[in-house]
Amino acid sequence: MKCKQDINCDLIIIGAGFAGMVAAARASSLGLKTVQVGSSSSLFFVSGLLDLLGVYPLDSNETLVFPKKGLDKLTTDIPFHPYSKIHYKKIIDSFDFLKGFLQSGGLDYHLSRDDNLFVLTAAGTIKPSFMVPTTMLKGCALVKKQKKLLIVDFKGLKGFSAKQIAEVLYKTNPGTRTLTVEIPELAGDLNPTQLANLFEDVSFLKYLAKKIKKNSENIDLVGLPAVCGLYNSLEKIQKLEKMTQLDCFEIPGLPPSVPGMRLKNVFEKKLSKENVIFLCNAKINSYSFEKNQFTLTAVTQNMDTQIKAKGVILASGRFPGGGLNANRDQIRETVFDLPVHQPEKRNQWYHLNFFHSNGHAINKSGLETDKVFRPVDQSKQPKYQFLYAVGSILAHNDWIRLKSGSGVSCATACIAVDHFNNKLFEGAHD
Amino acid sequence: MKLAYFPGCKIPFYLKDYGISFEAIMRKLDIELIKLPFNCCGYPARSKNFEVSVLSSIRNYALARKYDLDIITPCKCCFGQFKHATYWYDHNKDLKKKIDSLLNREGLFWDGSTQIDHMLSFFYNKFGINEIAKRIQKKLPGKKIAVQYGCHALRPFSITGFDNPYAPKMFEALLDVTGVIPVEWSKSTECCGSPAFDSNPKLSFKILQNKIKTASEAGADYICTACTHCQMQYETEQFKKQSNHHHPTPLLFTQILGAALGINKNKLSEKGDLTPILFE
Amino acid sequence: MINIALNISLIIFTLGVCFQIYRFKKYKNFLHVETSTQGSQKNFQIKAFLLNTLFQTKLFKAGKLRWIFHFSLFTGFLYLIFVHALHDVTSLLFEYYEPTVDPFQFLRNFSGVMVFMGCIAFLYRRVIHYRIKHDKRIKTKGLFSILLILLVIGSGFLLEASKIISEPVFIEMVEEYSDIDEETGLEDLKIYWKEYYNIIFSQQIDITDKSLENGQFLNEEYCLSCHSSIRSAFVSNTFAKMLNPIGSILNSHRLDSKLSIIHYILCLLLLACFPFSRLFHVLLIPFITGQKNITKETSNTSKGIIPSTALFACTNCGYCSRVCSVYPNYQITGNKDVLPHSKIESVKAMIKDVSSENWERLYQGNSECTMCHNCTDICPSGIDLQCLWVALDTKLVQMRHCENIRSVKDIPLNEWAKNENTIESLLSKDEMTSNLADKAEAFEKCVQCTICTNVCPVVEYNSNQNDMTPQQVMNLLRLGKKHLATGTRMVWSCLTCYSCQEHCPQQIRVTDIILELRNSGEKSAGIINKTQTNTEVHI
Repeated sequence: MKCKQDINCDLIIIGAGFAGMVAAARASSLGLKTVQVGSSSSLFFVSGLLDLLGVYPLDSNETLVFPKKGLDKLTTDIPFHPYSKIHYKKIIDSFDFLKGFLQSGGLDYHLSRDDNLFVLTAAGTIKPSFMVPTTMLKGCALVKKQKKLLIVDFKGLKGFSAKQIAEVLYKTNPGTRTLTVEIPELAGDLNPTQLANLFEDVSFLKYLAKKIKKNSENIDLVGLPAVCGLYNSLEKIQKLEKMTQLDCFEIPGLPPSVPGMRLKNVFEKKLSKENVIFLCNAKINSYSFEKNQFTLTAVTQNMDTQIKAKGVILASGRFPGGGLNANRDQIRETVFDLPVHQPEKRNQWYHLNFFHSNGHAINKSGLETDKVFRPVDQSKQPKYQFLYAVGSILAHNDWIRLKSGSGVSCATACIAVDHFNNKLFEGAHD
Repeated sequence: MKLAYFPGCKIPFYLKDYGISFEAIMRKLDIELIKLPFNCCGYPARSKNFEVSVLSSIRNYALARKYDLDIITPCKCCFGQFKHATYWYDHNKDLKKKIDSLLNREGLFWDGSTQIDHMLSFFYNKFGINEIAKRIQKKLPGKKIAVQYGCHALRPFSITGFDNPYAPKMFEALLDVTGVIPVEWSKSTECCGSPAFDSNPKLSFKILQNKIKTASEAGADYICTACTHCQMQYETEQFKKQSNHHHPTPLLFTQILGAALGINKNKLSEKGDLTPILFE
Repeated sequence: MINIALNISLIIFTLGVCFQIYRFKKYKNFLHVETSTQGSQKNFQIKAFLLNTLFQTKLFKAGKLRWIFHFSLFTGFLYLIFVHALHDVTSLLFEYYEPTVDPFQFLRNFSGVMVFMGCIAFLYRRVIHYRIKHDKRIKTKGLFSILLILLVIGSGFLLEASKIISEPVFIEMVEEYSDIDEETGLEDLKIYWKEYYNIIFSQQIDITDKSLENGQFLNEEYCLSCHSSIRSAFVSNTFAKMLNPIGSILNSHRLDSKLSIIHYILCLLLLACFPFSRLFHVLLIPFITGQKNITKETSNTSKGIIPSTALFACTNCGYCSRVCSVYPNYQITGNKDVLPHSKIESVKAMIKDVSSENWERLYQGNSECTMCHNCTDICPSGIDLQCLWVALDTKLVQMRHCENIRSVKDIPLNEWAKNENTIESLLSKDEMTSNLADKAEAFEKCVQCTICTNVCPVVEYNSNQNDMTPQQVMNLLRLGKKHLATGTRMVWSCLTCYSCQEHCPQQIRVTDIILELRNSGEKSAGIINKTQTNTEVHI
């Protein structure tokens, strides 16, 4: 009874999270016929900040100013880390590629050259990041620039408190003022998307500008929660700046994250335009490999799609997305059942101390690969010539503590796709 | 090519133009529409009685099976309902048994060999855009059109398999060949508000107002629909009375395509009074 | 005396028609809904009126076989009334008219057969298709009229047969129209008539060729101009032959005059009963065929009048239910009032005595109607059924019936929650559902990320009236509060746009669950409705 369809393609990307999206973008830009399978909802959890490397070593008390310095050390200390297989320049190139891609979709990002950008967050803390939405740029390096800050929050918007931010910033920016804006038609709880939609309305911008101006005595910089529109957010911030005659910037916050949605929208729209076939929420049920070709079955409730592909990019993520599955005593990779690097025993997964400075072993579990990110078995040989694993599924990368998530995803995705593309056109088999 | 025509319950009385223009374009494209004694697709009953809604669709499938015909429908709600019913029929063994025995009493059965397609996906996937482009007799003036995708065909993709649910492009691609210009409209895939028309008219109207406002702001002269309920929602009398300035006019895809295929405007609506702009 | 009887019947007929008109008007006022009816248009469609009245075109479209039988009954009956019964008029138009002259003799018999065929077909259908009807109210409808017609036809044939064999009538005729007597060849005429006109004489007569020849000569001279060959009265003639053994006894008792009275009385009975029986549809259907009460523009706002005249033009043909779009609803729920042919009977019962039941089934059945217009298109009587259903809904709502959704909305959430235990015990467990809201696997993975809430248009546009967001409804399920969840405004305002289900990172089927909560809430509200309406007094 189920509908069936067949698709032939060059490359299939399993996963529609950040790594999967970058891989699809890279593949389509190289002209590869691409199919993407997965759920893109994880982008709702993305803050919009794209990190390269924020902290190294893990037990140091400070964040890195120059990621390259940290990288050099990391490469020596953790030779199996994904970054250890990549030249620094290539990481920057991959970010650059992404920046261009996003820009062509109307989303403006600022890519740093060498140093980390220090971004103010909704918790009032400062987070190092490397590629930052332009709307958030003016909130970087607050300490250095000694700006007089006004933080705006909205009544009903949960998870963002101007007062809390001001409190946390007290030591470095003692004069920080706060302003709570009420929106009369919307009583009760506000969702980030509701607010973001309001920003599409010019009359709302005017109302907001008026409120800000009223409180803008002796202020040079205004910080707002990152809800300034789902589309053309930079334009909206600039409009607001014009109306208030002040510099404005966005402050990234808790999920569901509007900057994450912006990324999602741009990826989806652009990839669709470039004819990447997207099988939304489909799951890979089975696979086979014959005559240098993968045949995978992607399954939805009402349709089975048989996909014949020459190459596979496995960007299926970790536990929440279902790329890795943990049962009582073992971690498995869910699509190809590839060997997963993991602690020998179950009780070694976690330290008893949640905040242990070295992090937890389970977060470093994942797939081990060769130099071009093909998963390897015990003999250190890649299982398949054109099967790649990219993104957070890779082993040895405690991305939460290292603040290296986006960089690893972006770089590994680009490198894997490039490698596949080159080999495909060479026609060589190695 | 022969297809069983499923108009749904609303076209015969509430939206005759859609039926008229749909049949006209199918005739022009040499596709024969067979009219079978179908019953309601079951979408209105979905909120009240699950079994009724599934049986309704499966019975229609079985009727089409009797004549070995695939089904085509211009209504997206009907299309979505048929697809949902397929899933529930497959996955709920007890329900399947009950439905099979009820069908058996009438000498009907369904083995999954007849399927349903919506007009748009039929044109895009089966008939082919190139085939349509070949038959365009008149390129329409480049008016700006905002495209109302319609939820029930688009989501959930897992059930309908219609188009990319976040960034669909089928509708725009089909409009492109006619000469009109689809605009970028952020609310294109958002619900038109029709399902709340009875249960929460205020909400329905609020959504409608916002859709029309944003479409207008996106620069659209017209809003194009390919679903009976979406079109009925945009044509809501109430809205016509309350709006006091120009707003985009709702047009049916079949009327736009019909005009481009060179069909006389009298054959595309009951009163023959289509927007003259399309026929300049 | 006959004239008196005729006049009495005519008076009864006229009074009957007036009474019916008065009754319809009364019902009309009784059912009139207070708002304006300026929306409804009445434009008379002449072409449809003529075609349907004369040729029953609507019935022809609906079913050819049935049309054949009905049309034969119709034309036969028309002939019999206008040519046979109103023979005074006919003889004005045709100078040579006599009942025994061809073509009238033949046509009369033929019409009788056509009417007979039509009646038998009706009876046959009533027995065979009982399955579709199986509505006790319809079972015996129309039977009286059909049997009466059959009696009229039967008595007519018997009357003619008795006249054919009648010796006394022969003698009377000879005396009146000729001067033939014993000497001038009466015997020969008798012989001829016995041989060729099947008269049964009490005395034995010898037949010779000579006398036949003479009889034929006499017949041509005196009788032939008014008496065509008896063979054209093919039915009566056959009866006459069958009566041969007992012919003389019948003749001596003057069966023909007795039957004449019986036949006439039956016809007058038919006339008198006309306004009170199924026969009245002959006048009603032409009356309503040309009318169209409802258009698309008026249907959404129409607080129309239930066209009560139209109700009584229904002939229980059942075509409406054959094409009813929500037939599957009837298959599952078994509620006959889903189907038009039953609904209309219920409406008639409601009009007659509104307090005879609580009409909940009728309300539920009628609210399933999708207003697809199939029944109205096919109705051979031309009744605007869709107008009827719209007006019926308005009337029932006025009688304080309401959709379950409304009753749920009217109850504050904490009140709704209170009847959790009573509802639980009354809910039937064997109805099939999509089986999600009761199964933890369907919603236990919800991590309350609020993505569904953020993409929900109901939350976006309605936030001041909405009580729960989608993720809060999921949470209620996780807390085991399914009954409470069914009463939330979110569940009933949901647009079923599936945005939440599409976006959920844990692939929870949020919309399908909400729809299942609706199904469940529908049932609970139905139970509450039942207990409430049972205790209320209706208008």
